[in-house]
Amino acid sequence: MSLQNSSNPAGGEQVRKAQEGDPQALAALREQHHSQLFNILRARGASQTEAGDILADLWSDCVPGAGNQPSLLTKFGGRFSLLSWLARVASNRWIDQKRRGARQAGLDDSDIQALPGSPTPLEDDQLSKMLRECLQSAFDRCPGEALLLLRLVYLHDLTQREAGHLFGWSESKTSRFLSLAMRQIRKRTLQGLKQRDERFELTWEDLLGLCEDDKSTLL
Amino acid sequence: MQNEFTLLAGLVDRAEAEVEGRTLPEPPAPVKLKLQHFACGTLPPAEQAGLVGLLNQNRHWIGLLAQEVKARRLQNPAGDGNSTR
Repeated sequence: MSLQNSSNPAGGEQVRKAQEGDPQALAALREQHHSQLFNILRARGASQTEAGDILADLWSDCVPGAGNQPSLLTKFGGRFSLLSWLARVASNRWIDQKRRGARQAGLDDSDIQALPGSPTPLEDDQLSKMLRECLQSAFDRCPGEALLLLRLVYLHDLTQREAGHLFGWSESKTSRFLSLAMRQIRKRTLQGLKQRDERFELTWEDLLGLCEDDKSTLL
Repeated sequence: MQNEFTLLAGLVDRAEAEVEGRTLPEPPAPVKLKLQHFACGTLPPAEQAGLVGLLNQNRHWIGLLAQEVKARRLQNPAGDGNSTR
C-alpha cells in the first residue's frame, strides 16, 4: 500500500469518490485501512472494544449523512497519506472519549492525566519516543557503510552507482547492500518494539504510518 | 524504498536535533581532503572505515561529501546516465 496518497492517481480518485459517498469506494477504503488503524489504536493503548467502537463511528462518519451532512473525508486535505490522517483522527477521538468519560466522573484535567491507563498527549509522545528509540537502536546496529550509503542515496540523491564508487563497489553490489540494510532495520525495529511492549502487533506498514503521523504533528 | 528511509531517518534526526540544538562544526582541513579523495573513489580502503565513522557521527558532513560527488557529475556527464537510486 502506498503511503503517498497524492502520488497514487488511482488512490486519489478512490478518495474523491468516497468523499462523494460512493459505497464501493468507501468499502474499498475501509478494507484497505481498517486493520492498520485498528492496530495503531491498539498500539496507543486502546482495548479491542474501544478500537472497534472508534473505527465503527469513524467509518460511519465517512458516509455523507442526511440533510447534506458531508463525509468526514471532505476534511482530508491530501497533504499526507490518508492512513496517516485517519490514524490522527481516530487517535484524537479515542483520547477525547477517554477524557469525556473521566470528566463525567467528576475529574478535572489535572486528575484525568493522573488516572492509570488514561490516554494523554504524554502517552502519545511516549509511543513516538519508543518508536524513535527502537529505530535508533536498529540504525546503530547497521554497519557504518550501510548507514552512509542509505543517507547518500535516499537523502542526498546520489545514484547507487555514485555511492558504490566511493568504496569501489559495483552498482549491483551496492543495491544488494542497501536492500539488506533496510531488511535488517525493519526486522530489528519491529523486534525491538515487541520486546518493549507485548501489545505491539504492528506490521511494518503500520509503523510507517505512525512515522508519517509523527511527522505531520510537527508541521 | 526512498520514501521509507526518508521517513525513518527524519524521525531519528528530529529526535537528535531536539536533544542537541548546538551549532554544527565544519570538518577540519585534513578531513575535507579525505572527503575529496573519497568522492573521487581514491581514498585508501584502510582509511575508509575511519572516515565512514566520522561521517556517521557528524551527519551534516555527509551533505558535503554528496556535493563533492555531484560536482564531479559536471566533469563526467556521460558517467551515470542509467544509474538507479
